[in-house]
Amino acid sequence: MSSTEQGTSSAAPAEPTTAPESAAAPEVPESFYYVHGKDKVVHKVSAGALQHSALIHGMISNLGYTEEQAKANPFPFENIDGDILQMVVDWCNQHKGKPTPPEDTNLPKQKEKLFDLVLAVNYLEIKELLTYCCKQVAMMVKGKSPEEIREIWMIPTDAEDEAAEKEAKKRAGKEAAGETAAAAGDAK
Amino acid sequence: MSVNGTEMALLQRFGQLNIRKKSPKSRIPLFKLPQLVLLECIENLDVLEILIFSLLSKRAKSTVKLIRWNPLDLRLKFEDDTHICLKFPSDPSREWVVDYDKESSYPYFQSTLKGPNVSRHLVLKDNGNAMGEIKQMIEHICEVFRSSICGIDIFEESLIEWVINLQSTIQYVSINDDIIISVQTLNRIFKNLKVTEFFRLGSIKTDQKFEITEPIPSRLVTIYKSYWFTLPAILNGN
Repeated sequence: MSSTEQGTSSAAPAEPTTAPESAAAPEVPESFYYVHGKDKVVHKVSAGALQHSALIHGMISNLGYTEEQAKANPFPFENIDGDILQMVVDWCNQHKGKPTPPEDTNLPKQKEKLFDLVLAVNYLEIKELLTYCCKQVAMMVKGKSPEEIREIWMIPTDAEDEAAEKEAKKRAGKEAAGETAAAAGDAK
Repeated sequence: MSVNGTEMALLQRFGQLNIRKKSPKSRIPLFKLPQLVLLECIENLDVLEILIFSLLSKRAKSTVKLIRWNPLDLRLKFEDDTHICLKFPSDPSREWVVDYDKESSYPYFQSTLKGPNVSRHLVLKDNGNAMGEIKQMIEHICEVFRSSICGIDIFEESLIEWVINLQSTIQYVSINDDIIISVQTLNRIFKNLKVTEFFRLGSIKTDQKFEITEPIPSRLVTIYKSYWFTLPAILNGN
């Protein structure tokens, strides 16, 4: 249901990149931007590929960089691991100017990295990839028993949740007391 | 209703589903995902998986309740065995069934295809306390999916009081033969349960002679051994 909506919404803006095939249309040189993750490795990505990311697309629109400026100032994503950013960039390049099919076989298969990938994709606002990642997360528990679901999705029991809540309250209380003491110290 | 008690009991039952003991390699801390992402993941599960997930913990249940589900068509049926049938009215060809089977020695999933219709079953062993578990399960489904009971086969007396307390209006009700054993019970049903579409009343097991003169406000009524249902009741009905 939601994937169809998202599929149609992001397909439209990507169309101009496929247009140069027409004989009448002049060849427009593609502009490139640069991004890097936690590992500082810079990835060169075309504007067409980056249109998948609402966050980066918004940044590009607002900054109005020339290619030289873009090269000198890669977009820093310090909260994203290098290998995860590489996966995202690869996916964006593979789907440049194309809508994502319902069963996308070009997506990262490493389930161990799925959590980090979901966080990165959510942060970069890549709707189609996020939809697929959510399906992948759901697929992990297909046909599994309740205890397997608990284990795969790391669902705490009620007792564990209560203990964690108590712990968080205790910590918050200590922090509040510390801040009050510090404020009193400053006042003196 | 003791939600925790209900969930514990149901979980103990579900625990028997743990056939594969192999520890899964890949895991993901679902509750550490941003809430909108987490909800989208859950929306990709099917009804029985959502049901199982919602029984894992209070937090899981409250998370599932955050999603705006389309109301389910929920029916309690009694044929060869007792089962809860769930459907989305927008897609009647797909059905999810929670079965309680006396013959089954362990719980399992099963899918059946009848023409264009698909049924996915979660078959649970009927340990002799199926009635209590069915009631708890239905209450849980109603709460989690924000749905109400659409139809019920009343095949045991205790279901009468339970359904009256749970929901005062139901579309389809069928009461089996000899389940109603007193006029008081019959009157209580007529006063407290509004059946809007179809009301089937089996024979009433009582030696008492009585008459019902009030109409039964249902679009379609079937009564077995209907000596007690009088002409004024028929003429006054709609």
